[in-house]
Amino acid sequence: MLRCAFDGAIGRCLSTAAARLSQVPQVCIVGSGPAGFYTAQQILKSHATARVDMYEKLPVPFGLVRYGVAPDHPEVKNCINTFTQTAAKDRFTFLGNVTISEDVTLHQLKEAYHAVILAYGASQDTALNVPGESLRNVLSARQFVGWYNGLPDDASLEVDLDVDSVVIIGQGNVAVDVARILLTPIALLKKTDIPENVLDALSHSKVKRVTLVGRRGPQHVALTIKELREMIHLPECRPQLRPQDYSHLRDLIPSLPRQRKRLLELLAKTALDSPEPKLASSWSSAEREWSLRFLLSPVEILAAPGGHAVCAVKLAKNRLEGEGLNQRAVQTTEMETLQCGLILRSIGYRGINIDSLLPYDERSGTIANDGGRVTGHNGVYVSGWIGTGPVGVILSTMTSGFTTGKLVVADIESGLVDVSTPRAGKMLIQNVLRERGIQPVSFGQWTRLDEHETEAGTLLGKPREKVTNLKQMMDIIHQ
Amino acid sequence: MAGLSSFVKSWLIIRNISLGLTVNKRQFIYRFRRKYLRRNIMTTPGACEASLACSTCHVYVDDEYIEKLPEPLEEEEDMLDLAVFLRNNSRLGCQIILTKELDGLTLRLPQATRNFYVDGHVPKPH
Repeated sequence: MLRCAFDGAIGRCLSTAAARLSQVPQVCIVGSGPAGFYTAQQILKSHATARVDMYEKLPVPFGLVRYGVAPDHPEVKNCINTFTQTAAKDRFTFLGNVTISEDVTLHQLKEAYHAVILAYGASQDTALNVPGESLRNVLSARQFVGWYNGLPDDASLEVDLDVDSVVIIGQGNVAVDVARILLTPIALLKKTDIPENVLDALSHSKVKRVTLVGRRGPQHVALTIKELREMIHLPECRPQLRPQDYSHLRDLIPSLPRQRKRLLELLAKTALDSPEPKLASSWSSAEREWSLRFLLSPVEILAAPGGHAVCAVKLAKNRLEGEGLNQRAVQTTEMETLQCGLILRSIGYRGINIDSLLPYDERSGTIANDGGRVTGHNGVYVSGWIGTGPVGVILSTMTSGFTTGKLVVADIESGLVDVSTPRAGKMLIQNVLRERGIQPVSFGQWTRLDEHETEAGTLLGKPREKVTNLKQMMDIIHQ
Repeated sequence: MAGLSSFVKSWLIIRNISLGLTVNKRQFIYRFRRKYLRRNIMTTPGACEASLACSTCHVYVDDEYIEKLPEPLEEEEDMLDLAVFLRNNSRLGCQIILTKELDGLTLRLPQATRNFYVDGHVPKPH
């Protein structure tokens, strides 16, 4: 809204316009999961003119909310509603189908934007690094989750469920999610948004037993109480817990903080006390079982003689050293072998490095930062797991997102991020993309795909039928 | 000013419940399930939208009111286990159902979520 006198003052008007434009901070966010969206929300809320452009590798937004949260936990995905509201704001633009580091470089983003926020999470999983890890049917839990959640990269995962016994290395919530999906009666899974071809595979599954193996003791399990309750009450399934593994817990429990207390009380009760009648009856007729084993670390994965698929895993027994809940596991020479036809490793995730100039920490798979500011790169920030490491539920990601958002705005206002020179924002990046023949996907176009999936799901009695093929996604989007 | 505003924004007093909700001019608003309100009020974090699937609406209930609230469901306790800076008077805001008895209810925000309001919307009493 310029008010300027005519002739002679045009030059003044243009420089006023430029001055006003130059005060509009151009911000971009790499990644469209919760970290990205909560950061965007905070920036839009705290700064009156800042523009936020969000880049996402996939044609679809929402990251782990769409592809990580278990299909039988739909309430956890409710946060998508506020993200959708944010996406509708004038100063926000979603650009899907754009891979930073391939289609656009970090350098180009820095040219186009005053601030660049990396919020692309942790897409790799931590390997066991033991012999036999590349045998058939040795998979990462991350891939398995991607498979049942319809992630295009994992859509053609080769999983052989014609096996009796599954071993999962790890005892966190991802491990429990995988166990639960493997053991839940198919009639219940059919009502979720698991893709049809996966449901088909699961309906032919012969899996009867899932064992979650932990390096330390029951007092160190990373799973949480809600997930433990679900396992205890899983229909047609019973726990197989060795009382001797838990007998020390009741002495330990009184001194523990609240979070651990309730969880370990429930674990001890399940392992040591008789179940109440209704549960006892359900357990006695159960055909499937789950169990927890402790103080074991895999040292080798074995195939049957002449075979190429896993048939067993050799594990070293551990002992605990140190005090309290931070005890370390130390391997002994005592071994144990567990028979199994499928192994899933679930021992953590790692972020990747999208630019060789970034201070990437190889050990943790994170980008080095000081409270969100990337070390040595003025104007570059991190939000969520790529900065904090891959631990935590929505609360911690929300906190990280909001904290980074506030920090970016504070840095703009203090001048630490210099916004006095205007930057072209998405105009520059769209030129780059056009030259490379890449069509970014808008949020409106995602909505079209969203509707397609929802309609397809309704016909099947599901919340949605996910499109799991990238080309198909793009075809629907451009219809 | 930042110090004052962060103090000022960290608590909320609910009054005049019989007339609908009057918020004491704070910029963040809590969401409560209330059978008489046709729509819920937007809050500070309420990521799972009151489904007991997160702990982002964690609040501290002032002592004189904590006793007036019904016991939490096991599911609420399970989610509170994941909240940060837990105290004896911690509850999930989304589980607090407003009644006349709670007029004057005072809630405080934990350190982690203080100032993380998402929407400045102020509800109209009805």
